[in-house]
Amino acid sequence: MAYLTEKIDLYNDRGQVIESGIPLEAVTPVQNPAVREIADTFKRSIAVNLAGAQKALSTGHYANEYIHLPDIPNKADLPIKSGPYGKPKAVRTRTWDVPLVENADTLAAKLKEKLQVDADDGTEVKIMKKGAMFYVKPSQKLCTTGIEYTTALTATAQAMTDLVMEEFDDILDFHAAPLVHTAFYGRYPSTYEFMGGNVISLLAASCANEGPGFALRNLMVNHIVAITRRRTMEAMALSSTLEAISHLEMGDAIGRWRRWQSLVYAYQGLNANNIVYDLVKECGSGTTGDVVGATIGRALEDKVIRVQKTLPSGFKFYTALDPSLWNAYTCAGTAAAVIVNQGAARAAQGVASTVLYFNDMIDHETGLPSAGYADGVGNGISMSFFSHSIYGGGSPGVFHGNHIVTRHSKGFLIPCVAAAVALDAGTAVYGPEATSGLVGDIFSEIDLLREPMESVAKSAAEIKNKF
Amino acid sequence: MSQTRTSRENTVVEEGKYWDPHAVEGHLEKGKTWERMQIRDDCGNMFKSKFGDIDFTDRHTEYYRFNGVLQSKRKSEAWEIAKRITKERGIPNYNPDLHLHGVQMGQRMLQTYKITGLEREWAGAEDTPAHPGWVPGTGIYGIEMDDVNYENNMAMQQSRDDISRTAINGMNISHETIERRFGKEVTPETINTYMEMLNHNLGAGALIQEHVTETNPELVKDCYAIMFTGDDDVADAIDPRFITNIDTHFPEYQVPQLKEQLKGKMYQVCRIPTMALRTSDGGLARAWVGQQASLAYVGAYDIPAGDAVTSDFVFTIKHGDVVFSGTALPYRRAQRVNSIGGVPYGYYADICQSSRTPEAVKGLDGGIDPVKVTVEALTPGCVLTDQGWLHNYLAGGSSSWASYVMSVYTDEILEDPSYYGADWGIHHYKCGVGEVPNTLENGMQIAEVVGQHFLASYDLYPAMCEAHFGGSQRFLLQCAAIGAATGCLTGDTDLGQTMWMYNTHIQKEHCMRLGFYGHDMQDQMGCGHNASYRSDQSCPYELRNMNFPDQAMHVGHVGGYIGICGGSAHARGAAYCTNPVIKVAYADHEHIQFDWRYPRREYGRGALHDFMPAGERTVVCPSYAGGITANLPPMYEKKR
Amino acid sequence: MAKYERQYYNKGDPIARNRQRIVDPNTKLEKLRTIPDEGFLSILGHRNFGEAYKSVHPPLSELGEPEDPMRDLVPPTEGAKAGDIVDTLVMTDSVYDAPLAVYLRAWMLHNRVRGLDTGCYSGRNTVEMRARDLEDAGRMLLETEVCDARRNHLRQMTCTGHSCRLDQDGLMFDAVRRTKMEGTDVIYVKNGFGNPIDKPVSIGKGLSDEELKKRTVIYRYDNIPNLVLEEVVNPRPDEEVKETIQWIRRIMRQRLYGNLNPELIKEDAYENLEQLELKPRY
Repeated sequence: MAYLTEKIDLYNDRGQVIESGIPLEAVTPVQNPAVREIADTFKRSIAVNLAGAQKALSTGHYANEYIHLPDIPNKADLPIKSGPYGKPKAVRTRTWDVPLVENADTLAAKLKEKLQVDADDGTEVKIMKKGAMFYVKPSQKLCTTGIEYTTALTATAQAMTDLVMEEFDDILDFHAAPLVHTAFYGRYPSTYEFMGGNVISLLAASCANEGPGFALRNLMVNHIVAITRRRTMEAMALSSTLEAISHLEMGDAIGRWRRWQSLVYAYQGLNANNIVYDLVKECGSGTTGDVVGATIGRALEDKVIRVQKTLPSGFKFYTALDPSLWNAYTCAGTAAAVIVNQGAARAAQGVASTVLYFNDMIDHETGLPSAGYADGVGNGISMSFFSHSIYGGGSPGVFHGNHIVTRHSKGFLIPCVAAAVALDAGTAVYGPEATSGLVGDIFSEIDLLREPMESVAKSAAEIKNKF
Repeated sequence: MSQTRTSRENTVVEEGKYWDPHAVEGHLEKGKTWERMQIRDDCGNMFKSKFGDIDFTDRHTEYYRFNGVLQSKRKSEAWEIAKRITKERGIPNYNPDLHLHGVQMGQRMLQTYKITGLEREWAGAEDTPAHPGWVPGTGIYGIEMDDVNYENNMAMQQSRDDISRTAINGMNISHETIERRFGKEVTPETINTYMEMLNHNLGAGALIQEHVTETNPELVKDCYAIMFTGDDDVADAIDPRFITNIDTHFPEYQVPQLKEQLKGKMYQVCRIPTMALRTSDGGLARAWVGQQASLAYVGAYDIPAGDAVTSDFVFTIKHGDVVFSGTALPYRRAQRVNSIGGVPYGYYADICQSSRTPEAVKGLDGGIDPVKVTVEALTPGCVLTDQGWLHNYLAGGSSSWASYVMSVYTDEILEDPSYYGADWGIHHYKCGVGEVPNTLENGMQIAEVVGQHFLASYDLYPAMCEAHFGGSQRFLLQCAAIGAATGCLTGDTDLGQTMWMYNTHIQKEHCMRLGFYGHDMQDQMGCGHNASYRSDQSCPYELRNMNFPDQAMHVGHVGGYIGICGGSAHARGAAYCTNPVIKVAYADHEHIQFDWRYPRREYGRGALHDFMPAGERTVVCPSYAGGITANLPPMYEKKR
Repeated sequence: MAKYERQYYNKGDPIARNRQRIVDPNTKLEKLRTIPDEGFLSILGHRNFGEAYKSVHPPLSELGEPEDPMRDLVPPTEGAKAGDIVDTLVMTDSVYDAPLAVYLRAWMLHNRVRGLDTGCYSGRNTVEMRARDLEDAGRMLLETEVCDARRNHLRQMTCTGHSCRLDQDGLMFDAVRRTKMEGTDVIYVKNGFGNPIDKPVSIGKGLSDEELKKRTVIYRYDNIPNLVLEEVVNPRPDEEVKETIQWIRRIMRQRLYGNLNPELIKEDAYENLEQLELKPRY
């Protein structure tokens, strides 16, 4: 494939230039080292909820809060008869007291040994929350041997189970084996996911994906906002990065669409040429409609579009001089409109409305197609419907690119939803605090994920001379 | 009135001149345009039966005097039943006083509906015979909306069941297996024996094993096996009870097309009992047949049970040589094969047998009538994809979305503009159906012609606008009419669908409104997607199903797409739309429970409580005499 | 470079001009009536007169906001600052020459107000904003020229009526009968939720049918249609049809060709494509 050599400048979310003169090729997922590392991080990162496993084993509440395999310690006091030989006796067959959190240090060290392929191969096991959690990152060598993205999850789950059975073999014998399995794996393999398990990946099992390439689109927006600690443009950048990688995997970033897709990522996700920032700055106290005008104005200024024809009433039709770049401008404008409108409300719920009507107004204003040739309008419609009705869906934060409602747009809708949820002050029932506390705690410690804009720009600069 | 729809009745045409719509009486002026609607004077009947004798151009009427649900026979009956049930069971149920914040539904007239087109179909004409049993002047009028709620309509449920319970398999591989691996000859006689055994064991009977359970034949009397082939010699030699004869079931011009595609292959079509679907989904059919047909092969050819060759039979039937009506759906909407969500639109169009009826072959101007095929195929398409799939399976709930769907096959309102467009196009482009060049410009012109006609109708006839009180209904109908006209005139399925999308703009800019909150998602995106080849945006409409991302979520579209698939193929002169095996597999109208030749009529019969579904279990239930506890023996008294 | 001035909509015919006026936020909407606060709140049905706004979270000043440059650039609305719940207002517009219809209301609001969540059905518009911001927007939607007393109503639920024939007074059908005629005036006797109001609220007299025809934003075949038969069956060049029609023809092509190959819409390159003669393939 030919390199995309046109140059862009990359800015941070304060409107300051990070790197300039970057060839577009350098930010593409196939080339950019930081983007590749983000993909690699999500593929290899696993959370182990040690406290959760311990609690499951000691209380009998396996897999979710409703399932309870009860041991009855006060059987002797119950007004029942169990046989002719005196009072009933309590037995314990479904639960064990296993001091996992107390021994977190030992367990972490041994887990690392189990997962390591070679010494110093990059396997990480980090203790978090005073031993209640582990962040586990098996080595690349382990995780890239097979062809799926599941080794980190499956190896970690089995390693933990194996480890616990080994370490506590004085109290855990063959009776305990299935229950220890359940404490870590949840209801798998009765379910195809580790439903209710305490070994957690952010990626779903491949059969839960809408189609080939959807794995990284599966992170719900709430997770992304929790990871980026509600910093709006960083949330957009992380979301846009995951979408860009996924669209490559889906086969969308190839041929004549490669440049088109890369421009969406650069201009909306990475604030290329500071367009998103400039639009927000200009229209911050204004409305969606102001952003429409500002976007068109910027496109005219940058000679992306021009007047094609003036009708008798004075109405002008515009035509695109660079259609793919015009599309990227509309995507950037959509993001700015969401930030302005949902920022004003400090409420995420209207994001679909803004996406829809920003693009609808762009269509009507110019006679040019809006983002995605009406995918923005259409996806805004479906998301509006399913975030406001009885038929399914939910609030903006629960959507993601692997969702039937929001999969349709090619990478430019979910970042806007991430921006809106980041700006929400707490109006949602299913906000990041409700759904993503754990994910946020663990993954927001990783600089690359929490603040991707800088890393992507800097690593683009490192390779820029190759193109 | 004449059954054949002749455009010449409506036009003034001189040789060499374009058809002039103004030659038809009436302009687009208030009052006069009514005369144009009288081209199809059923509209007058429709309005009268619905609203009484009113001035259809008057935008005023009276309200609030209709006595709520008591104006409706069905709802009144329902209320009485509900009161009795509440008394019996203690927990309250249906109560119309809860409808609208203390007010009952029915503050305006609760409309009745008429099934479109039946008088014409049933009446017959010079070229087409009347239907047996037709009584002159009859159609199906006065049905209520509740009658076409999926839950209340046995014909609708049976149409879904008939698809899910059908397993279609090629027989040739199984025959080769017998001859090669087992060394026995397969002849028409042995095939007849096999078919007899299969019809024994498919529903009720056992084979091979001693002391096994069997089923009461009354429960499974709708279960049977039949076959068909493109090879005339074989067809002639098979027992006629077991074969669908292509020559007698299809019009002459369609027979060679089907036989060319089917060639020498033999296919068996098994319909498992409707009752069996209660414990499963459509995925059961192939497993059921896999087991039973394997036993029938074993029995017919004296193969030792448990011989390794039996695993070849079951593999062939389940995987090796099988034509699924529907494919499986993924995780989020998971269903096994033969689910109505997995049936491609082109298959739905082929399942509908309208294209082989006399009305479809000699309808429009005495020639092939793709509009007829469109409106017929569209009806089960709408019912099954909207009511059966999206509503019943994906969203759920009991107060249904019948309103979108019923607007399409009632009250003649879809047919009028569709025929108007087809008539206009034939004379404007001076060619036959399916022969208009499929350029974007021509498509947009057809769309605008039909669009303005439809919009004018809604604007100038307030009663018609009220009859289709939801914007989604009007949007669906206008899109469908435009798509139908375009597809029928050009023979290009995808162009027809694209003009459907173009109507989004026509209607939105005219009315400043469209449908429900999410309705036009796929119509907006479709403008671009229909010409796209990007990864998950692209597929010809014949091969899309309810899993296609654009279509997976919103009612009020797919039935129309199905109609356009069927109509466009018919306009091209084709015998089938997508799969000739499917076409012939559903052609045995004399056996299958739902008559796929006339789906509108069937649904109308269901509305009248005149359609007997299969799979009723009364033969093994205690006798039921109208009350939960009436006439029950004492041991059942406390059971609910 | 001069700041781009928005055009909003074409002005090629009277209906389009009406649309353009309303969508343009620079247009000062004519005030037709003043609804007293108590009456306005009783129609809306969310809070009683004098009652405080309900909150969904503490005021932003107490809550604190995370460090985020975007928050610095976008000031919150008054309702957001206070932590108000997000309330809803639903309007229904008749098809019979209403001065405002659903999509136009959505565009109008997106051009005029901040902090908006709005959506369009066929029979209603939902408008959701922070409570006190919603009340401000609600005044615009109920007191100005975009609201006719008989053809645009506030209905929070059970909205059927937009496409039904009018009653003998020209009032839209309402199953819940929130509005009634009192002489020539329209009064709300129930609030949007269908609960009776203690003191019915008058919103005055509706405009005459003739006046509505002049102000409406809806093309109709008994007034001014968009697509005209003669222009369609004997196609006139683009210049001779309404500008609205020129727009729809254009946007259809832009979307279709653009999604096939973006280069085809580069300076409208597809126009050359359509000049090519298509050879029959049989």
